[in-house]
Amino acid sequence: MISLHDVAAVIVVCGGVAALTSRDARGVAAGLLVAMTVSPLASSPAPSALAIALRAVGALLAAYLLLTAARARSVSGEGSGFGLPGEVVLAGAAFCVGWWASPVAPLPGSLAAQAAGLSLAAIAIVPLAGRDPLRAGTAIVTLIVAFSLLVEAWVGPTSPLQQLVWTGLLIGATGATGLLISAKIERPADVPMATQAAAPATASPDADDAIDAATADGGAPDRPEAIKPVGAGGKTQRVIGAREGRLRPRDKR
Amino acid sequence: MALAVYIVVCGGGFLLGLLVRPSGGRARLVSIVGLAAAFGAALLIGSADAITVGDVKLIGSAYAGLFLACGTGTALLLCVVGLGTAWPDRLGPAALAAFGGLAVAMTATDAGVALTAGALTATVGPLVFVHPGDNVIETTSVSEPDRHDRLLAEMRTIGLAVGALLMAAVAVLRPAWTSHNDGTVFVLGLFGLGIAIAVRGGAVPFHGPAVRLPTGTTPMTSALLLVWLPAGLGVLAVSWSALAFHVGGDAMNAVVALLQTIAVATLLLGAVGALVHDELEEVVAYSIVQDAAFVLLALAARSEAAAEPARLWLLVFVAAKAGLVAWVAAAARAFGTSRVSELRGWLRRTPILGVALVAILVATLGWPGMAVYEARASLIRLALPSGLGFLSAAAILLSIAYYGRLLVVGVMSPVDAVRAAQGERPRWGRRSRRTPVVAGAIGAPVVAVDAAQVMASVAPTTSAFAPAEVTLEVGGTGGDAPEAALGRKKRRSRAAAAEEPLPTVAAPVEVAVGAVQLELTEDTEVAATPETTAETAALAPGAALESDSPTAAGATPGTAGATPTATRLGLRRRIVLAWRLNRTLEVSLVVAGGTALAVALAFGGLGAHGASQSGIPLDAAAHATPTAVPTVAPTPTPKESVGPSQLPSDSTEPGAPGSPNGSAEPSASPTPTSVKTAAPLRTIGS
Repeated sequence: MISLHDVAAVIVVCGGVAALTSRDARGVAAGLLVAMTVSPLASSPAPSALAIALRAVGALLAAYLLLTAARARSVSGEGSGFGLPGEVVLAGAAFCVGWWASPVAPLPGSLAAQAAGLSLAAIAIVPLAGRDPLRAGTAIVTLIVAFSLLVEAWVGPTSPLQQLVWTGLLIGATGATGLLISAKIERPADVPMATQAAAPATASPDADDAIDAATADGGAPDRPEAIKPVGAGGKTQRVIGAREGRLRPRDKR
Repeated sequence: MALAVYIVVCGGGFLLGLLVRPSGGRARLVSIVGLAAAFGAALLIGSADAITVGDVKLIGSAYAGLFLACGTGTALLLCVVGLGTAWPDRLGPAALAAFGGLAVAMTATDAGVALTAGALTATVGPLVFVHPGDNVIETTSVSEPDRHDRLLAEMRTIGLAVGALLMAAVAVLRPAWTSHNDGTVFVLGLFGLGIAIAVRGGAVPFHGPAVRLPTGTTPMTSALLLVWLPAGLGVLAVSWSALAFHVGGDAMNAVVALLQTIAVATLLLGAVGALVHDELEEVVAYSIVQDAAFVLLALAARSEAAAEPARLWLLVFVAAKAGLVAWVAAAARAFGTSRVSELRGWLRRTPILGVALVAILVATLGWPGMAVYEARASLIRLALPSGLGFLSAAAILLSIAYYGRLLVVGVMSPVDAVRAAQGERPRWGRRSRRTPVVAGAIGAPVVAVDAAQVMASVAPTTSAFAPAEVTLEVGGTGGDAPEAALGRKKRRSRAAAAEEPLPTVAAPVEVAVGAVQLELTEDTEVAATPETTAETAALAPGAALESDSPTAAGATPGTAGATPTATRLGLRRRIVLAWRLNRTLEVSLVVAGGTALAVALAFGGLGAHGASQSGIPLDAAAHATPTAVPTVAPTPTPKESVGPSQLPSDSTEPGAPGSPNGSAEPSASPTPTSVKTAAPLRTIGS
């Protein structure tokens, strides 16, 4: 019989996959919000209502911090190196391994929490080695959610203070990610084309440099690159990252 | 009660510090008041303090109180120094957050809570890593092409520290593994913890991002990222390593050998790096990195015998290295440069800073018989093979070499920039002396048209970087003016030196005069009192430039009116003014006070020696796990029979009522509280 813990565990994994595969900061924040909010429900016995509410408020605050950092500009990441199907397959395989494996016996917590924790940990390892701060930060937050699930599965229900500290850790990690990605875009060449086009070319002393950099990046030589909708969703932002021709710092030296 | 107050003050100060406007007066007030309140509360933390949250207790200890007081006190010291040099944005809130998290981590009896709180502490670094305003595109500099890499490195460091501490938490909580040999978990925990501390502390070979920290970050960032955070994590790691001591095997030996290698390389190469680099910030960073290697040694030793000297060393490390960071800020402010080659003769101008540097040297190295010396020697003896005992002497010699280099440079004949800087000696009254003005290269604004003409007259004979001597009449505070100009130049150069062309003496005179007049117009309103007038003079180095032309006097009304006023003041008033207006003296004395604290701790004073022997509650939790664990038996044992009996039973038979461990004596419980490490007792490792 499918219990609430099992459903919650699947939702948590889905949130983690969405966060780690999304290229847009809003998608990342939404995925993390789902994973952080639902993760307490995957443990058995479920925490108190106060603890669940605390985790939910903490998740909201964490997602808000990430959104605030990305509000001024459309901060985007490189997305998953495996792509969505690859991440889904990896997460599903790790979930199955966690469901059938029994490293701890008897298991004080729920089996679903263990499976979800292993699944999230598996998909969070690779982005940590990447070169995208947004993805790395997302992976850190996902890893924390995974550890919280594994601890509750292997050690048993956590204390209210532990829930409080988990909440603080999630907020701290998300806030650190927001701070670091807000400082990531620091040169005109890194600015999304939408932002460049919106600003007058003569408004900034760096405008010429921006156009030069855009030219070097494949843009028009005499004016900012025209805004063209990309993708089915009609997004107008330019993806920042190695895939879309962003000049890496080392390339500019 | 004091522990609760400390945590509340840290949390509240952190939130309030972020809410108020950065760099504003309120931000400074919140940071300093918050740190002062936290410092006071930390001094009162003792073993009697306890907070119960659910089934977890936070229990204070003498060491936790002293460590938190030391850390908060040094943060307060840096903020006070920042008032006189360059205000470290967000350093106060970040320090409050870090020490609030460490307070929970160092007092929690639940290992899971303690190590998770330690992981939380590791995430506060970006608060100071990203300078406010740097995310504005126009203010970024082209001179930092590797900024992206440094952001990424910081993110990875956070991830590594968080992951390692959470892995350690899983290991210490000891789930009921199905495998009989759960040593792999402990090996992974020790490996992750050691690497995390090495990366966070900038140990070789992870020193690259650490030594380049000062560029583009909040001033004095090194104190948080290289001193406080690694030291706090080190306390937790050393406490936990005693548990891992019971694990053997080839894998554990390999991890220990790796940690030893990193520590030895850091001890030697860190000192070499400090010796060969010319930037003071880099010298300090390498010095901190070198001394952080002792934490790795303590972790590799994995014994309680090594934990005690490590705890004492960490106290001294926090105080001495934070004092060194403050020393660099003070020296750079006083002389307007942070290059060692341009600081020749600094000791003659600022002897108090010289005393402070010697105090830091003594506190860091000590001598035989001194507590800190014995602690360093013990760590090397316990953590390394006996054949490597010479490393202790080598590390000391190399440390003396780079400290001595700074001191030798200081006693040499002063260079012009140092001679022009304001020293610590109070001066007042009108006096005339010959002071070099580094025209153009310093970017010193000139006050009057005549001054600009002087500059123009020396232009054909001086290069952009060659000092030209003109006669200055200094009123009130003596050499305030060049010193302040150098300080302003330094702040500007960090932000925009690479983007703005350096002004030269060949620049049009009209441009210089116009810029100076604009500056004077802005400062006119504040030049009404002797104090503010002198500060205005400090902003304009040539404010009292001697000239026969009445234009000069007319262009500097505040200065011209203030100088005679200062000369008419009484002796007491002049002393007060000289003290008040000599920022170099103020900052130097604050730095010297901080280093005195480090020296006291290095001698084992202020309770450091006794507190280091006690440790933190996590020690008791860790030690309790393999031996004295209240069995989580399937049989419902009455709760009161689990705890040790307070009264000895008449029966001496093992297992008699009142003696759950079979002893007739009251059980020597490792901790007076329930420790949530009650996993089933198993054999650890091979």
